[in-house]
Amino acid sequence: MKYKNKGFSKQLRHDLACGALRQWKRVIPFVVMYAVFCYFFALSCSNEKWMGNVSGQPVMADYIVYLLRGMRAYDPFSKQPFKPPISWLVMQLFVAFYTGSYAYDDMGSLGQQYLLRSVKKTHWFLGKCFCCLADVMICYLSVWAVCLVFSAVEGRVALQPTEDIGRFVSGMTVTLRNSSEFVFYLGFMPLLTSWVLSMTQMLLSLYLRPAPAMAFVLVYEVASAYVTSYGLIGNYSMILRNEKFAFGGLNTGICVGVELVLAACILLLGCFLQKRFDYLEK
Amino acid sequence: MKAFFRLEMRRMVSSMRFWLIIFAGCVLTIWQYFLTSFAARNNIYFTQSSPFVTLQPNTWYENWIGGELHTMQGYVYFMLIPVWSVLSYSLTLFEDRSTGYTSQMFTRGKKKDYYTAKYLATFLCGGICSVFPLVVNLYLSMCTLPSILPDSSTGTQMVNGGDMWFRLFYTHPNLYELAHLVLIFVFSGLIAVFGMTVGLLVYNRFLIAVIPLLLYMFLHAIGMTFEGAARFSPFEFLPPAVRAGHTTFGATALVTSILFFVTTVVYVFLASKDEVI
Repeated sequence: MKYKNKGFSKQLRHDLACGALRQWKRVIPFVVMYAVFCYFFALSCSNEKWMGNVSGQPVMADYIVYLLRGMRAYDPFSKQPFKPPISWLVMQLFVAFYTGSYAYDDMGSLGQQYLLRSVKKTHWFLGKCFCCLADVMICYLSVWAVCLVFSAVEGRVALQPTEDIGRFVSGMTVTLRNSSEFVFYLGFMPLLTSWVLSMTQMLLSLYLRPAPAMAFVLVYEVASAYVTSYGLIGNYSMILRNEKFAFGGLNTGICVGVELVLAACILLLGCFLQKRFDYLEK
Repeated sequence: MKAFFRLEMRRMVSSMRFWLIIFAGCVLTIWQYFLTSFAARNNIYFTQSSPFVTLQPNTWYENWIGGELHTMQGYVYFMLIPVWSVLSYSLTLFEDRSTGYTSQMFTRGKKKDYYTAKYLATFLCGGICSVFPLVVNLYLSMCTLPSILPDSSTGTQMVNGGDMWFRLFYTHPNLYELAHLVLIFVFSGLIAVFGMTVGLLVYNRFLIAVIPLLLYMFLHAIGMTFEGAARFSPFEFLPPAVRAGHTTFGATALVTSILFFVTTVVYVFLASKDEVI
């Protein structure tokens, strides 16, 4: 028993090192992209300030609200062009890209050797799920870091969004009482959603191959932007679809509940499928 | 060269991946057809039978997948153009090199001929996989809705004055749609070749499949962020309907030419350096 636990921790360390940390180069293009978004946001704030609509420069929270706010519910019958918010979409692309093909590649290489010799299949899959969590955290932390750098240049690092910047630049009324609410709605909720989707992608990649799995998750995200529904969990990562920020939005409690149930289902399904998977034949 | 090309085309047609991608694309475009053109067919009777209404009936120009911007299927289809193009055939060169198939080919013919045939086959395959589902949608829409000359006063057209080839759209709309299909074919073919060229540089299937999509989406992101930059985004200039800002022929030609020259030059260079024997 002691040996097996040690095996899992070793497996986990290997996954975190190879699946998350050693892929740091994949962050670079996205960090550049988010720097472009932040630069544009700072420019927009300067323009609004010059026009007298905004009193000061944006703080870190304003950057994050601008980048991850998502979009309001879309009405297809309005016949207005459907334009999902690009900074939000690129974030989903970032997570999907970072999750990538590690689990699939590992299953055919070193992971297979682990499985054949010592580690339980369940442990192997759990390791990959933790790896997805690490991937998602790296993606979000790197975007937050870009925002931190931009706000630090202005000397305004704070987790309390500015109301007038929210109204005139981000196009929403920011009604967050304190920074812990901010961390919950803009830190925890998108992260949890991305983790569930990342695990889904990882599980799909084992059977469909990584690129189609990534395309599937992206399509799912676009569908989430198109339809406001509890069934499409991409909605949960957009604060503009939350009832706290938009009339008729989604309830946070239900969202968290659905995500936890989904995460549990993916874990169970993954473990079940892995047990039935014939590695040597594949 | 002809023998290699014939062989590559045969491989392409007999590949399950090629047909699966065409099938997936057709599912999306036919789904879009049922949501727009098929649903709009009753409007013809309404506009013609009611004595109080003098509306122009819906035309297929504004309801087929390339002519409208309000369905998710249309958005997804054009967003995934690099995926359709690259997954269909671009990965085969990487696979051939991994399995040693290329060295077998080099013993039977010239390396230059093999790479030229591969380039042409990948280009054609990328173009076909992107355009064929669109043609299916176009055909179905044309069967359902009339081809009345578009009228800008209806306010339902997604091509505005100043957009690329807008005069053609309001005078010869069929030619306009055909020109866009040709543009999509060429661009998708080039993206497929770009993916194949990436395969000569990196040793990861996933990266080969995804890098063209990333480039495409980054161009789109920059286009959506800065005013006036949308014209350089393929996501904007490929669909006949214009989503954001104005598209121009100059910007379209520039982006396509850059893609063509960079891809071809790098491909030729890397292929000439490839020594497997």
